[in-house]
Amino acid sequence: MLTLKYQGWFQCRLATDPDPSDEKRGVSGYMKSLPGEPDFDRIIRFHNPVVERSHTPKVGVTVTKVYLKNEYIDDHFLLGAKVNLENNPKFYGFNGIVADDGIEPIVPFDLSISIPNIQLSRSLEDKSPEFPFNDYKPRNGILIGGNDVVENTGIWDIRYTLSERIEKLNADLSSTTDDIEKYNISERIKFLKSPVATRFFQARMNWFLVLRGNINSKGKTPEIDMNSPWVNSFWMGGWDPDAQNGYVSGILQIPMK
Amino acid sequence: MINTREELINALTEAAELEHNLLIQYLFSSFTLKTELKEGLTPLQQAKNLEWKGIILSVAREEMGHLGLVCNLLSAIGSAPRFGRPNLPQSEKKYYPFEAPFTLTKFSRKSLYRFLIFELPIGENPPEDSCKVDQRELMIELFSAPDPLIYNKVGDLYNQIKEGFNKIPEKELFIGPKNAQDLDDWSVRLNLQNVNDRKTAIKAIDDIIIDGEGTAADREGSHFNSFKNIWEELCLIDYDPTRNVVENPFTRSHRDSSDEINVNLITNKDTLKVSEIFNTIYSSTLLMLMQYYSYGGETEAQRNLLRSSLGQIMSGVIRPLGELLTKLPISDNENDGFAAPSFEIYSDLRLSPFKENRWLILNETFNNVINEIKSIEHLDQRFLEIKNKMIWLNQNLQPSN
Repeated sequence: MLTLKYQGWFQCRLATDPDPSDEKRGVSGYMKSLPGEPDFDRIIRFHNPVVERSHTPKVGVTVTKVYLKNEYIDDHFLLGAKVNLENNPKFYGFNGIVADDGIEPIVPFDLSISIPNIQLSRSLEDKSPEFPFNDYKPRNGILIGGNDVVENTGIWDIRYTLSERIEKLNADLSSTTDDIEKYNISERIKFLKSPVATRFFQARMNWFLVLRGNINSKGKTPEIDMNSPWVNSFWMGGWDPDAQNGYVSGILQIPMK
Repeated sequence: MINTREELINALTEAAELEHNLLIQYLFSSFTLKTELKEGLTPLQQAKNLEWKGIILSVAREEMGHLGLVCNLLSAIGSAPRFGRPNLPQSEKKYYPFEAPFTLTKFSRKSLYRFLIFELPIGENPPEDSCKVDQRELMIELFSAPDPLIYNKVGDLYNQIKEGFNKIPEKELFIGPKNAQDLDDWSVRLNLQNVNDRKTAIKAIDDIIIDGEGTAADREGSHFNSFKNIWEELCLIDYDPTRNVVENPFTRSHRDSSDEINVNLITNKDTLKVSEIFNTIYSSTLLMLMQYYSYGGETEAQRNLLRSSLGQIMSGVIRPLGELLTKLPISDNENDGFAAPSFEIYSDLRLSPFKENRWLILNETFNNVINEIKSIEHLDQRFLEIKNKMIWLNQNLQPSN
């Protein structure tokens, strides 16, 4: 069994309740797309964020550890590989019609691991996902607390982190002359001082997905068993609405030949 | 003077209609704001428009909460909820004794002024306007000599209702079952409270008055102040914030509408269909509210399903459909202007006395709506999501769920 541990910040820019799920800018919910930023699209991005707000964590999800059987391999070629969700995955809540906030399925679920010239990818299933998307949903609802989020993000005190961000933004505000930038920084500072800025940081959603779709491989991939399912167990949490980022940490188990 | 149960029920029924009619006027106006850069807004103008829209929507949401609270008050004294209302427009001092008409108009200083008159604190004069445009016209229209009306402000009506609750002996009055009321477990805070005696009734009414007017010492956050602030800000802008939406864009004439106010009938076939779809979904939503509040045999699980579906349909279907209508032409000539949600009620709302039939009728109506949406899906990509939401909602809304 090849076990890949992956981690990193992802981006998801989405309108929140009571805005319609396809609201593009954010009107009534706490999430807003600021002037000059693109419209919301709900896409979960493990790489290539469409906006990078200043003084926020960098987006990128990579393989951080590799184990073969139970042995840690510190020079495995997949260390540092990009982990990605392909084909514009979204949290399928649709205003609670499919699922309430925090327990939304990720649809589609097409996972890939890649380094230059090598890519391995697999979908949850080969058929098109169908309502009510139960196989794509997280298990056990939203979990609050525990050490997972703080230990993995390295943010032990989110309030302190955000107060440092506010200080930096205040410094930026005093030096900028651009009207849009001034507006955006002021709005961000106002938001960061509100309770909702930290409310969801310690919450996480847990998935346990068994990937049974066809395996696609490019380049010289490991000698994997092409018939057995992959088990992908991960959580998403550490939600930082100012950054429009959250943290993902997971384990992907791939049976070998 | 309210001093019998019957009078109190009548007054609360009027209050329910009033809240309902206010909130649809506010929703209509908020939907007409431009929100996209391609409509000629700069990024900062877009942000300002979205902020105004958010404020008006938040007032409308509080009015929904007030409607829920009024239904609780009705239930507490042994009566039924009220979700019906006459179709708009209604001219001033006729159906309702307000000094301003109830009519569906786009976002403008004039509309905002009308809204703040609705919410004007008792004893307070209308705000003076330093803005040079339109003021004379506004004053003439809205401040002709007052008639000897029963009430002419929202707060006025509630004060009389409060007097009624104080006058009628408490032991006689509260005959409603204690558990037939709506509590505040919607997905957004609606400040709903259980009403079971004079103290809780007065508290509920005071909260409604404070939401509307604020207090003499603090108007901040009140509906009146929210509208007044936007009204004042509108004096300072140098762009047109609103889509070219016509007044009262209706699918047909209604016998219960006032014929003294202009109604624009929609003639564009696609727009007409979208507007009819909107009105059907809106009426079904009202029926679902009646079903939810009627305590007519639904199980707790079915009531939970109704409540969650109602929140979902309001945010996920009614709002996007309403917004879409403001981009659709009223006639085949775009210069004639655009439509907007008319919130028409085509016939009296009646809830079947048979529980099974309520669900059947709802599912059947939604199936028809889904088929109708399929025929206009090509008009805008948002319709695809609306269609999917309706299909999934209808699958959720099975009485066995």
